[in-house]
Amino acid sequence: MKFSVHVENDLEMLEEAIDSSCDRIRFGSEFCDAKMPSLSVLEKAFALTEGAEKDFAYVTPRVSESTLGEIHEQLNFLNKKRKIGVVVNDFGILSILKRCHGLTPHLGRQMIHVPARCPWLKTEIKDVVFSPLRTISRTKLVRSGEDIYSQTNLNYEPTIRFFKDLGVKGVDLDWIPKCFPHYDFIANNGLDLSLHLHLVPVTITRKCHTARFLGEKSPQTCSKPCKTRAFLLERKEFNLQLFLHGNTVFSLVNPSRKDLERSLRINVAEFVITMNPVTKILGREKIDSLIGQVKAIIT
Amino acid sequence: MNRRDRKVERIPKIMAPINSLEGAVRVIHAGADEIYCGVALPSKFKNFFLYRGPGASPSQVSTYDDLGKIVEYAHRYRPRAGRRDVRRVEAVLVVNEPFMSEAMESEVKDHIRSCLDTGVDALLIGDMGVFSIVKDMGVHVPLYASTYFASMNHESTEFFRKLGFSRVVLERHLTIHEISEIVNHSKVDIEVFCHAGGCSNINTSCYFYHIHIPPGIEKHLGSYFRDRERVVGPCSMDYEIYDVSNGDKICKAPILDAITECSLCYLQALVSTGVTGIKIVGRCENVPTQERYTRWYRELLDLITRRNYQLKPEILREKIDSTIKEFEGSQVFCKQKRCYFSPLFNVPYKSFIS
Repeated sequence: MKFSVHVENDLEMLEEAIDSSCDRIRFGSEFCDAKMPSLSVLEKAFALTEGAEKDFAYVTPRVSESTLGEIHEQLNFLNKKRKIGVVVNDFGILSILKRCHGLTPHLGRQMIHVPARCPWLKTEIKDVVFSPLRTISRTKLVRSGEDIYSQTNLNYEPTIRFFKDLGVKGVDLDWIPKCFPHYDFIANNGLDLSLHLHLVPVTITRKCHTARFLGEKSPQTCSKPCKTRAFLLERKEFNLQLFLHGNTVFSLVNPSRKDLERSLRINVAEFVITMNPVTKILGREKIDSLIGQVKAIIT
Repeated sequence: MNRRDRKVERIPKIMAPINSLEGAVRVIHAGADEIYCGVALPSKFKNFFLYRGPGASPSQVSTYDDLGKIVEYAHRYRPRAGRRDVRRVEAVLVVNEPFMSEAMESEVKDHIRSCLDTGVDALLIGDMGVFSIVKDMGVHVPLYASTYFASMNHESTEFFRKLGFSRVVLERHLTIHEISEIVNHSKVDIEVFCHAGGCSNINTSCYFYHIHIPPGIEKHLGSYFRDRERVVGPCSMDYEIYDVSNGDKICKAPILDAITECSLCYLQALVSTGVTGIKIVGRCENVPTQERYTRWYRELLDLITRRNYQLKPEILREKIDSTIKEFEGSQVFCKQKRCYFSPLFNVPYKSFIS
């Protein structure tokens, strides 16, 4: 089992991650194509990681037509290097990777549908009626053990086969313990599981909520305030806490000892630690401390 | 004639939403070139839905018999004189839940087979598992790639074309320029959403499942609800906003609200992109609303694309203004610039608060 650290687009943070005890660096923007590193930054990031003899994976978001050219350049650069994993969140990029034999596609979280990412499925909302909660929690589906809301769209063998035929080797999944039994199906069908330890993406936009709130005018001119800022969004009466980081709303989970032990029952290939203002993991010490804690439980 | 020239000649089809035979009749007479609908799954999974279907919700046609009557009506209908480029009204079946699992397989197969037996013209698909089922069944109707695949570039549209899809519905969060570029570089039909349901977030990655608001509570939830007392996603709610770095409270605002509603003012620009279809959202709307939306776009599109006619800007503006007057709530939408294809970083809620 490997420990990866994901750094979006920040060379200082990358150096902290490289200095840590992690096995692998994931570099790049997962959710926002305006926040993708430039080719020169990617080259530096790759060189730094390679110099430290750590594995490197490039993380890509969904891309618009405007940023497709940049992605082509970046993938061409990486394709000339040794075998590198690319986290894919866009069918267009998956298609490009078919032409890049040096790169290995790994499905990103935007390619996977997990109904249990919905915050209300774990939150008791008394004042409003949420239809799926109302219907599903009382249906025969749950009673018969077919809790469909805890499954993913990869809990179907032909879907996995489709992606494997495109060269996909692994998949990113969220830390949602009630889904773990269903993740096992995916591992058993031959995809490597990468589990994100903290942040579950609840919703993603191109109409970036952070940028709009802070008065940015367009993706092209955005000053990327999300590099340092994030917001807690709260509705106390619904017992609801969400985190807005850039164009993505997350729920934050802190893996418990019990859930870490449960994760041992599934074949996890990689734990992913994200460095950003929401996880507040911004330096080497915190990464090492977390890896130490997890290793102590799982070994 | 190259692809750019063909764009000038192309008149997009209007795709209208329905959930009943009555709705089908009314939108077809209002000028729909295509109708689209889903049908509730009949048995075990009838209550399972993520967004709008295939669960048993008011947005679905109730039975396969009803679907059969709808398809029959659409196919029998002959367009009024003068309508171009339309041979008959087509009925598209929505099987585009972005989800499939082993547990659902046999029921979904039966469902698709029952729908195909009614003579539907095409299937709209939003999941690779459903796609696998359809391929396995040897289905011969055209396949359309749903917005749940979130296509935002021509590599993606071409990927779906090579898989066998003949049309791709683009993600909503694109600019007119981006749409135009995708059309230029794609060899597949491109369809875009144009009216209602312009979500704040990317549809396929949004787990803000909609909440049904009981009467009386909407005024507590957020700015958008004050004007529109109906079911809207939690992206419209007010939130207490805190800075994560220091814990300071900043304000209370509907920070996630970027909902858009209408593209009447952008329709001419949209036509010029060369898209082959414009889609109205509203399977969960009532029949008069479905009919009204369709009629607005039909009339405006006919005006914009009339052959041998030099459309004066003031005539176009007059038509748009008179249409918008019919649009309930348009004062708020227009004031807040809740337009499809407005700049991505538009802040509609701020204009309301000020």
